[in-house]
Amino acid sequence: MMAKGQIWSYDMLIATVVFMLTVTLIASFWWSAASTIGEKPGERMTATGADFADVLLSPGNPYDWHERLDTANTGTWGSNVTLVGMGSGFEVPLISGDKALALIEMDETNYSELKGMFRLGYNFYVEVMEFYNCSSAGIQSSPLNCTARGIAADSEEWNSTAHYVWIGGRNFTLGVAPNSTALSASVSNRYAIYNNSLVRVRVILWNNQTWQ
Amino acid sequence: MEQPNVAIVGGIRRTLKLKGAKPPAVRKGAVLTMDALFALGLLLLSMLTILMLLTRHAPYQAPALSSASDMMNVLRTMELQDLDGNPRYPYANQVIDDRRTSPYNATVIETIIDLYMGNNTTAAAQNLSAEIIGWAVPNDYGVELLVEKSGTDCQGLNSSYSCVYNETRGASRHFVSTGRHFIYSNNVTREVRLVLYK
Repeated sequence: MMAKGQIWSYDMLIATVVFMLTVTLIASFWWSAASTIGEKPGERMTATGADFADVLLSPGNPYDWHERLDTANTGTWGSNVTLVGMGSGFEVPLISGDKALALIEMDETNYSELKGMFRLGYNFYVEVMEFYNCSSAGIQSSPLNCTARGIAADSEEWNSTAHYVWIGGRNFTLGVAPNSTALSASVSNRYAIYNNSLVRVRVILWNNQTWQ
Repeated sequence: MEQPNVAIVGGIRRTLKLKGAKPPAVRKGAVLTMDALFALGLLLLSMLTILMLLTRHAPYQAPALSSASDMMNVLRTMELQDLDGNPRYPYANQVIDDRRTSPYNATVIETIIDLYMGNNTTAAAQNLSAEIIGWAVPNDYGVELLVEKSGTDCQGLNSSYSCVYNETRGASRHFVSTGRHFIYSNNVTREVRLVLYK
């Protein structure tokens, strides 16, 4: 005759222990393998940053997209335009001033909508820098005059050769700069030509998440 | 052998005797077995929790990548005449003034290599490279510009590539990006390499 209450027998105890040990081992192995061979979310962010930079330096679609929308009216953005970019064309590293200005105005109108047009799941920040010496006589007598642009003599920016490209009376930046809540970021430096000068397009994707 | 003498158990036994049934055997240690089971369960759960806590979630900071091929693409697109009168490039304008009659529509990289291959103009090639390439590359990157010509490379070693311009900003080379372009110079097609590293 079977004894009552055998569910609490040693067999059950051993089976439970073996099962939980197995689950623990599998979970541990899974995490270890996933972090070793799997694609890390941070790497995905870097790849997305490179793709975003490619899109940004492309001419967009259609080619004259900046003439088909009203930068101040988000309702016109998605109807005739499938892709926005500031390149003058494919295979040439030229930035179109008109397209760049349109993007800046769209950013000022609605950053979130613009982020949606780029289909980005991260916050983005783009800054375009050009290079010259503020102390050079030629610069001081030109429209690039650093003092006229509010750069104090002998300040850090004055002594640096990297300066924001000035477009439409403002610095050439797009998006939201990483703030104190930014925990993860991916940076990509690209080079192009704007206004007959070599410029560095610094593309930053960021968010406030941490990953394994 | 100790008999259960708790009143309730005794009551049950008496009731069962009255009904003619066999009294149940008391299973000793059953409660202890359950305790052990719960304890083991808790122990394993604690281990799982500790494992999860040990798996640290750290902020991700990817190194800022700079593309040498991008830079080379600019250097082979931008022409020397584009820089004429541009106050950003005083040395390039000096070169333009000296070379009005030579290939004025040459690209920037062609001009740099032409200066390097010319007589007594190696310093000019370095100055022009510094003004256009050196300023644009982030401060934490080293730069090497080499042309296919027997000589010494940027590390001072004998090589089939000669160092045109070199900016050492760090010894490490954890990230290296190379851009290449081919230039026809002195009746020979030569490879030009731009290397960015950090």
